[in-house]
Amino acid sequence: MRPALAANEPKPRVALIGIGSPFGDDTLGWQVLDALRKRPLLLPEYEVAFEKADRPGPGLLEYMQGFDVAVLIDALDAGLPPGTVKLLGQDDLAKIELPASTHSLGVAEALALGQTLQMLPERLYLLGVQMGAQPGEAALVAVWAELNRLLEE
Amino acid sequence: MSEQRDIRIEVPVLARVEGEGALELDIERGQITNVKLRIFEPPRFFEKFVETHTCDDVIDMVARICGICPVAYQMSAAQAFERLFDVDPGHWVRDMRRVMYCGEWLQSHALHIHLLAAPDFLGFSNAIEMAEKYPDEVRRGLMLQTLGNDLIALFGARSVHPVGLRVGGFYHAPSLAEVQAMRERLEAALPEAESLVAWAGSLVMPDDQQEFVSAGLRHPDEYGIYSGNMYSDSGLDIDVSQWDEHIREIHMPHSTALHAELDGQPYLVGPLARLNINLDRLPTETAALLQATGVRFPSSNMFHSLLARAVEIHMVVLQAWQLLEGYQVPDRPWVDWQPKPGVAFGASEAPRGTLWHRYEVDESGHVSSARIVPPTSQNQARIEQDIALSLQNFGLDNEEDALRLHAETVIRNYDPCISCATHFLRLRLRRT
Repeated sequence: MRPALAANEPKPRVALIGIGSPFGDDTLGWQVLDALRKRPLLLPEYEVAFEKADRPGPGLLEYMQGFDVAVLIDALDAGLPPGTVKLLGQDDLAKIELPASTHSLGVAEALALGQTLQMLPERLYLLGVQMGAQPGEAALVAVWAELNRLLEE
Repeated sequence: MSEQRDIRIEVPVLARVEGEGALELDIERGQITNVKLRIFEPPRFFEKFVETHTCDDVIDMVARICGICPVAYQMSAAQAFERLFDVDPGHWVRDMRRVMYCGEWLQSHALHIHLLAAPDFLGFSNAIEMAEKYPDEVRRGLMLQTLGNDLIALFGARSVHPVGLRVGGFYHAPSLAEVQAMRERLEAALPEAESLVAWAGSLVMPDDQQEFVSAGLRHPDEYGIYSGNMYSDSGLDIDVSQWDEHIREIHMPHSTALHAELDGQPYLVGPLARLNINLDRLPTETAALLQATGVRFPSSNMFHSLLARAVEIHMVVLQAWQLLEGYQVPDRPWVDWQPKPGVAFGASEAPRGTLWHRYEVDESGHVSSARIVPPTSQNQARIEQDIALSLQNFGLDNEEDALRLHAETVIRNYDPCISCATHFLRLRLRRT
């Protein structure tokens, strides 16, 4: 449990970043972020910012500058039941096959670059939502609950 | 040296270029007999999509052709329509469009130098590996790229597929406070851009001298970015409406992107060509930095493209900072206009080279036909020529892996945007 903040202490800043694009299953990260905006977190001691990022590449590192915590929400294809929410750790990221083409780095590559350059926030989480269907209420509640749990840590 | 065997090298995807394609290379008895840059990105039909749309709609539509250089597409289109309609948007619009364009060059060049090209010349397989040894350089690249993106967004509301441009000017002028904040960031970036030029000049490049034609826009008073005549060091100096009289596009069976020839020959567009023909248009400060590197321009070493990009980065940071000095919010950031039927021609310098547009417009101001010639398709014939010459200079008896890496380096050096040209690298090498 986090200690209570003193009255004058600035609130820690949290960035919730939905990653996606306007196409197909890749919109999932954005849809979840839109839903989260309407469902305030249970944690008034945080200052929360919402950001929808369209295939941000290395720009992802810039989005996260100045934040104490960043939570990335992205569509995931791991063969799980559609809508399953999975918290990915660094080990999982290392297993993601890096897309070798294109000008833009993928999320895993951008995070690897950020780690090397020591540009990542103190706390960073990646929540994957299994694609394959529209995110149902259960998935949204699962993301919301996971966020509250993570920030309570 | 000859080897009596067939060799096939497969590179599933060429890293660090935009798009998909392949390279086919045959070496027979120590000679290259076949080089084909195969582009199999499907045709994208944008020229057909824009038909029947209004000129202002077309400006937003063509921005969708590319995520890296949308501003270039908008600038070539807007100028084409304004020229046909006899619209002069005035000094403020012209200057601010140049500033916005500086943002696109800055982000595109910063990305290419630091994340895509430099690993080739420093012996790393990607930017993440390079960042371990060169963290400050990579951080500089990210900072400059972000600055460029934010400069685009200042005028276009967002950096990818911006929406700020219209026939006659802009939809919106940024506030004085926004411009002042941007100007402070540009000023702070100037020393970074200066050190970038010195660093780029210090990188050890292969000494690969080749003969080629450098072409691009040249303007009487300024470095060719926003507008100018189509010019080459082979004697070309034409208004962009005369393009078709000299530049011919050819369909090649192995590519979904058209090849182009200037008066029957391959030619080069892009940073190196542009700097070669615009040396006397560099700002004094930038020219002095280039001089201090000790690298002489005009250069016939294609690998000096990286240094040319660095020089252009310094120039655009400096010019954007200068053009925003004394900024004032105009009463209205556009002028009125009336459509006229006819043929509209426009060209501007995308980060990768000249981007030429031709539109037929009807009496109501709707586009009835469009032709768009992007830089990567213009460079395609030159890239094939370069691969052959460069590999010969490198030595065809090198190991296959070395040949493949060298060919990839040559291709990446162009920063090809194959999604623009219509996407990259499977190498099939046959040596007999």
